[in-house]
Amino acid sequence: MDDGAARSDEGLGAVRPYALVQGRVEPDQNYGLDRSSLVQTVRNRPTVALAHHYNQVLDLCEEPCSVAEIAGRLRRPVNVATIWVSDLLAERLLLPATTGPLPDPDNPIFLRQVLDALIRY
Amino acid sequence: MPSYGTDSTLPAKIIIAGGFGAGKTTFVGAASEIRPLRTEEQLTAASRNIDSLHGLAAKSTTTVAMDFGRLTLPLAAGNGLGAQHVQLLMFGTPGQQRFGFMWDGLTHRAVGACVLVDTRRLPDAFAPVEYFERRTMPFVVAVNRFDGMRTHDTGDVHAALDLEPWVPVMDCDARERPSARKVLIQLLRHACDRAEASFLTR
Ligand SMILES: Nc1nc2c(ncn2[C@@H]2O[C@H](COP(=O)(O)OP(=O)(O)OP(=O)(O)O)[C@@H](O)[C@H]2O)c(=O)[nH]1
Ligand SMILES: [Mg+2]
Repeated sequence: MDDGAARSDEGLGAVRPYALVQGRVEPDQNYGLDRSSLVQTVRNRPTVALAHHYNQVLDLCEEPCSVAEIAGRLRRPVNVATIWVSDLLAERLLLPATTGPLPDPDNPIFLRQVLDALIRY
Repeated sequence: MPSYGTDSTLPAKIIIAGGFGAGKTTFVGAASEIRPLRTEEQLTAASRNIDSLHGLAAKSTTTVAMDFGRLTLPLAAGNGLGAQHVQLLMFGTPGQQRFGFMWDGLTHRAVGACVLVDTRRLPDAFAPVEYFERRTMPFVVAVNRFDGMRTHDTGDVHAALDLEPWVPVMDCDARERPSARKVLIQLLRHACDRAEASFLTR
């Protein structure tokens, strides 16, 4: 890569088109992500030049989508999907789809609401 | 982190476990609103055998393929959770893997589990049952009716698996969406009852 922009550290577009995760096994910033984290693409997504796989992630996340689903649809291991999501969160192209605090899995109010939602379904 | 502020979706993780060929993949497909996906997970755990010379815990890693499906549901207004939707995220475990401490990362923060049982291979259910019992994670046992099978009394299955009295056992046909949904409802009802009971005694 001898493109000057590629050496700058701004934006994903020109910086990281040449390697999927650049040999990283951990995201640069974790944002508390795991396979169940839900993310969504920003509205009015800016037209920036991005590596193909980042665009694929943004296309998938027009509706709230989990890291696991991104991995499954793009046929990549979950840890790779986690790194991509973390990169896009850092660029504010993805946002968390869960805006409030995550209820504990044994929170009775949460469980009751999920149960009622399932019964209504 | 900035976010929409207006619309929030909560994840709710559910584990679909059971022995080899018990119907886990079929179940995820029936319950899911999307074509079920396969996800590859790398499970890593510090080995229990500590390297005595260096005092380091050796790490072991295996890659497993999980089934993945989801179901998005609207939450009632004024639910006190500040969210409008929930996504049930269903993870089907592979049948041939041994259930053990390697699974802890995967099952962490799950609301509960369904253990699918093929009565022709009832003992296959022991390992997952024991796993969820030890972690005090709510689970239900779903007896998958394969064609031409003599129907077992769910009470017999309950006894044969030596389950705690409060663990629900029910019939299901993993190929049928309404049947899979009934199992999910039973699981949530059970998880909810348990959580409400322990909330009162806290
Ligand atoms: N008759 C009948 N067949 C079923 C039922 N559920 C699953 N099957 C069939 O049983 C076979 C095994 O089902 P799977 O869903 O692949 O089972 P699994 O637990 O995912 O299997 P592994 O992942 O290999 O452990 C498939 O051929 C299914 O079509 C059922 O309720 N009734
Ligand atoms: Mg399977």
